[in-house]
Amino acid sequence: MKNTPYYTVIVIILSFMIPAIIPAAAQAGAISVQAQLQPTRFALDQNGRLTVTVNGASSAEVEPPRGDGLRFYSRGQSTRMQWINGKSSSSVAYTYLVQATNPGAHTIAPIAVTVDGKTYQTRAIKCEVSPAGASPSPSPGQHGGRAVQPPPSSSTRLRSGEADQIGFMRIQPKKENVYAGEMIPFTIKAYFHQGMRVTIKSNPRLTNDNFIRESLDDKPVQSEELISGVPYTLLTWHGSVSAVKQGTFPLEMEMDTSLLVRSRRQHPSSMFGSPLLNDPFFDNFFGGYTQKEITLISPKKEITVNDLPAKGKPAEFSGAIGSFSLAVNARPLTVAPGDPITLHMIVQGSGNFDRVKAPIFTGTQQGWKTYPPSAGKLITDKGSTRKVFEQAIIPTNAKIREIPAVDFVYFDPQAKKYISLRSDPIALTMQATAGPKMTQAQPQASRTQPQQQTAQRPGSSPAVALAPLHTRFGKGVTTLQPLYRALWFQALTAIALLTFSVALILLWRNKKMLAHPERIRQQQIGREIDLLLAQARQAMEEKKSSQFLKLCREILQLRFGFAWKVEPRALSAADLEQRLGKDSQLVEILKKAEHAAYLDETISDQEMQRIYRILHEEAKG
Amino acid sequence: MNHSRPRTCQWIFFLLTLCLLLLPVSALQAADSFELGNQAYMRKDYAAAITYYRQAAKKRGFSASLLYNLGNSYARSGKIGPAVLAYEQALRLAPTNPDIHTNLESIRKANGLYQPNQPWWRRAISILGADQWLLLAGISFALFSASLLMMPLVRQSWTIKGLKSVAVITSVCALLALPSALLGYRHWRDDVVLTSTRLKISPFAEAASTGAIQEGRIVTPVKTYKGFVLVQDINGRKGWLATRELGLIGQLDTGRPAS
Repeated sequence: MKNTPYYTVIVIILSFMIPAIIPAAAQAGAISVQAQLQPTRFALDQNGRLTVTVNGASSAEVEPPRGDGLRFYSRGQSTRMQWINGKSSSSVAYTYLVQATNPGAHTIAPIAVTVDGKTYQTRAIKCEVSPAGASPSPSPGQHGGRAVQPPPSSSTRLRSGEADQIGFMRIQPKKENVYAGEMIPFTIKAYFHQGMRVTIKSNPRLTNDNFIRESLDDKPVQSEELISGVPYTLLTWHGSVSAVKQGTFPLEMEMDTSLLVRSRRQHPSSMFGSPLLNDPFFDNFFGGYTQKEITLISPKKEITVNDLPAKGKPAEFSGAIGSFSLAVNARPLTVAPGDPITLHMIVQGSGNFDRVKAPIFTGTQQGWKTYPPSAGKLITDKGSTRKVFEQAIIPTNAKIREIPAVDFVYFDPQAKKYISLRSDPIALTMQATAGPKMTQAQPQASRTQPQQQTAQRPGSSPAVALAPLHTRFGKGVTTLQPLYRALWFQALTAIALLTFSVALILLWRNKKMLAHPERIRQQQIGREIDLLLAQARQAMEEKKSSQFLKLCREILQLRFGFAWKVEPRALSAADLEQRLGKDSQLVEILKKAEHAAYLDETISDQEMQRIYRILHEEAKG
Repeated sequence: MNHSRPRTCQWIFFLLTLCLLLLPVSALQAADSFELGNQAYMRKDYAAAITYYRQAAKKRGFSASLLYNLGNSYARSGKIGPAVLAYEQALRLAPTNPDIHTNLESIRKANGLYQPNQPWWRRAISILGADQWLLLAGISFALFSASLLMMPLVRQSWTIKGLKSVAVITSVCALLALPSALLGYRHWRDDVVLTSTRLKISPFAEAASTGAIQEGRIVTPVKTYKGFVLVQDINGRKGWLATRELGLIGQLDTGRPAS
């Protein structure tokens, strides 16, 4: 009976296991074998992957594959077991690399597979091998030093040789036939095998000086791209370059990267089939990482650069190439002669904005005074780029009724000709001459001073209304030193800081005192006793013994009333005697004082001096 | 022996009298130069006016009026850079003088030296000069400290209330005035471009240009290098200019010393 629980547990476990084991045993008989080649078309310098899968068994004996003109290299086996809802399944797969010795159609003969003494056969597989280099679809995967052909699932193809690399780069200019100075937009794509740890050590740069880099994204856009069925991490930059001179030049870019790659273990015996050691599982355990410094270089793209046509080149052309529009506005539009107007000129479009200069104002010979335009402010907003110029222009006579047009010339590479843009004139409202402004400009403060007429000397600055001269010299200085350097201000600041510090200390002390009212009362009592002592001394000097004794009584009552926390006036000699004892001199003094108060007794001068001394010591002690 | 003391006293008296006589003479000469400058200006002889004003400055120093008149003379001579410099210096001495403000704005407007639109608080700060803001801050702080000091010493509640009101008002004044003063002093060492020139990309005479800069523009010096100053204008443009092309607002007469 002692073993009853033990047996019960075993029975329960068996009751759960038996239903699971019985179907597994029943399914052991459902065995199937299958062979698959991927891809079925590959080049002579590439290879395929043959997989023989045995379903329903965890081990099998597989006859080495055979085929005319084909060689097979074992790449190991993998076993898979599954338990799903009490049902088990197992399979084992044997993998081989397939290489051809000659191009053409080949057939892999049926492969015999023996499972538990029973032999099964796969179907024959046909494959087509093209000559070396004919198929542009190598796989980046590397097994046994050769590339494995992936399924052709993507339209993007790697160039020959790229599969051996860890990453590669491409440059895609949008134009290959341009003019000198014209912007060439381009896209740079850097591909890295997924799983690689990539550090970008530099931005892409030009390898030669035939082009000038005009712009490039600060940060690349990261994405994924499937190339020949293999996922790649893709970094994409957009930018633009411009060609310097006429000719045909290679556009090539390079970029420094650092890659952290898994160093793969070498298996010298892999060809001779040790399935255990060939298992990639061991790479995870024993494989390390190494840092690899590489420079990716894009393939060269030939760019043909043409000179701008000399024929029809306007004198105003400043080198702008692209497609532009021109907008002009001005403020204010109601002015008097001599009033400045700000002309805003906006050049918008696409092209080499660094060579876009300010449009040319055409009114210089039409009674306008102009100032050099601003250098231009480049504004990029929501994908559109514009350059804004400002120019100050001044109408010099009252007959002017409009702001003349401005001209802007650029070269259109699409139309292959120079385009001249001219803005419309802007209507202007002209007021009377600026004469009255002379009086308006007189400030209030100067009216008390003697008015002195100021006049314009021929050839000097424009007629400007200036306030009159000052006639009083005022206070002279030799230096313009700021106030904080003045000694008196420094002294004022120091005094203010000192006052501030003292005030803070006092406020802090006051706050602290308020927190302890007993201390305040004690100080108050002390001051009152000092005052009474002074009065007692005066009474002693004036030989007024009854007054003296009265003051002595008040002193003692105040002193001990506060100490014993009783009402001072209620304190008697009996209370004092009870607390201090009969022999206390203070008790004797208080008794004398009480007697004097009731019996009008007097005491001698010596006695007054003795009592005063005792009280003084008591008060100060 | 007894005669020496009276003789010494006589000498001291003589020297004091001489000083008292010479001082007004010197002041008179300076005043004369200033007056001569005004007369030359009236004759439209602006070059002579500038010379007279500078003579007056050597004798009595620069006053706000002298700098203002000097600015007028430069403006009439067509020398916009020196005119703006003189007006700006005059504003340091008399920040609220309306004549100086008016003429400076007129000159700027006439020559395309537009100033960027200032926010309201910048305009409010520019009502006073940096020195005046600092003085206001200093006095406010001194009053604030004094009111704090008196608070523990008085007993009457109405006095304490009054002191508290003074402390609040003065502390607000000090807190507003001090940042205004600091903002004003940020531009204390600004320069004025004396002649229209070109900004250079590096501090060498033959260096390439990054763009033109107009005379009369105010620029902020960033650093100096061998006779050149890296400056930044109101639009944020930076470039190198020779020191001789600049006039330092904070330094009277001689301009920037050669570095």
